[in-house]
Amino acid sequence: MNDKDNTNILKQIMQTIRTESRELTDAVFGSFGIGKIEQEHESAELKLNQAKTALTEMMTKQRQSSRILEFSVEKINQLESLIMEALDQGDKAEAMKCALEVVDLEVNRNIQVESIIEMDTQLKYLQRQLEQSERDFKEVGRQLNMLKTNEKVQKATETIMENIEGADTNLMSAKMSLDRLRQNQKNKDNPLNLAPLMSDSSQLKSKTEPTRKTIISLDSVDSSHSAEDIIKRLQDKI
Amino acid sequence: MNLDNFAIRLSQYRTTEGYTFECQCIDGEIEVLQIEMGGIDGFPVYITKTDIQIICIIYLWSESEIIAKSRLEMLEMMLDTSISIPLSSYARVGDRYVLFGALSVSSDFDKLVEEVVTLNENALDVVSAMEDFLL
Repeated sequence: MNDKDNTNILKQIMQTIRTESRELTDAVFGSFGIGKIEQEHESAELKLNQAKTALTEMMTKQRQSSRILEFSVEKINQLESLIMEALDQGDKAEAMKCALEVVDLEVNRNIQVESIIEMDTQLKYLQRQLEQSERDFKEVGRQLNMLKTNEKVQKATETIMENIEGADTNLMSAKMSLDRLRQNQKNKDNPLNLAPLMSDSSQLKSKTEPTRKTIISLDSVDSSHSAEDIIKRLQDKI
Repeated sequence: MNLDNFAIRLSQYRTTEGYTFECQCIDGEIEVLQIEMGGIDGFPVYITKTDIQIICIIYLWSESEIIAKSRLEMLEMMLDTSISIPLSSYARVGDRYVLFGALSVSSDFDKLVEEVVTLNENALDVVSAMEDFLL
């Protein structure tokens, strides 16, 4: 089996069903089975949570850097206004003092901008990694679910069969069940079952026309049968 | 949905078509609920649950009930008709052929009731249609 086959749980289940080999059963339900996949699932979940924590920290740092950058830009704007005012008033010394502060702030601003760009790249990379981890996590979860479903249905069937066989009810062949259902249906459809209604004229009146016809024909069948009985009885006397 | 809660609610429920439900929990390693419908002659529906799905199963027939020479034709017929059967599919568990429906564990009560009723109606049609392949 190649690597791709090893990761296809459905294929392994099919192989197991097809060959019913102990080796393959162990391959699916043993070493490569639920225990191992559960471990993989837990490990993937742990890595995913670690990646989410790292992403959250990175986003917090990015927000902090953005705030520092905004503050620097705002401060630079304020100082530039002061420089303009100082120049208007001919206060070159004050203008120079502010300009020196602007130089420092601009250096700091450029560092922040570079830092934000770098963080943004890292964030995008981390997000992609996280998406991939989510996919891996869901894939392992899906495979785990296939194994668990297979195991559960097998066990549920064993439980149900034990229960049915123990109770000695309901365990009839599909054909027998169908015959039973048909017989029940036939009994329901049998006009004789409508006989009690004939004693209640109000109910009879409420029945639909086809039902009344059925009851009437039933009545005539019964009469004919009785007449034959009478003739037979009289013939016996002769 | 918790199967015990579902059983209690379903036992007291009556559909607009007048169907009622008799629920019984089956003891065993796996939680299984048996449902028999009142108001329709059908088969018991067995329900079990995994982490993400609720599986409703009706046991149709076993391998020993199939007419040997018709087996291949029956299997082809099952494949050909499976997609037409609403909300249910065929499967085989061990040597038993089943009709089943699977729902998300987040499905609400009405969806589960719909599944149970539809599954029963489908099973009747299936057994009736496949009768000629069975002993």
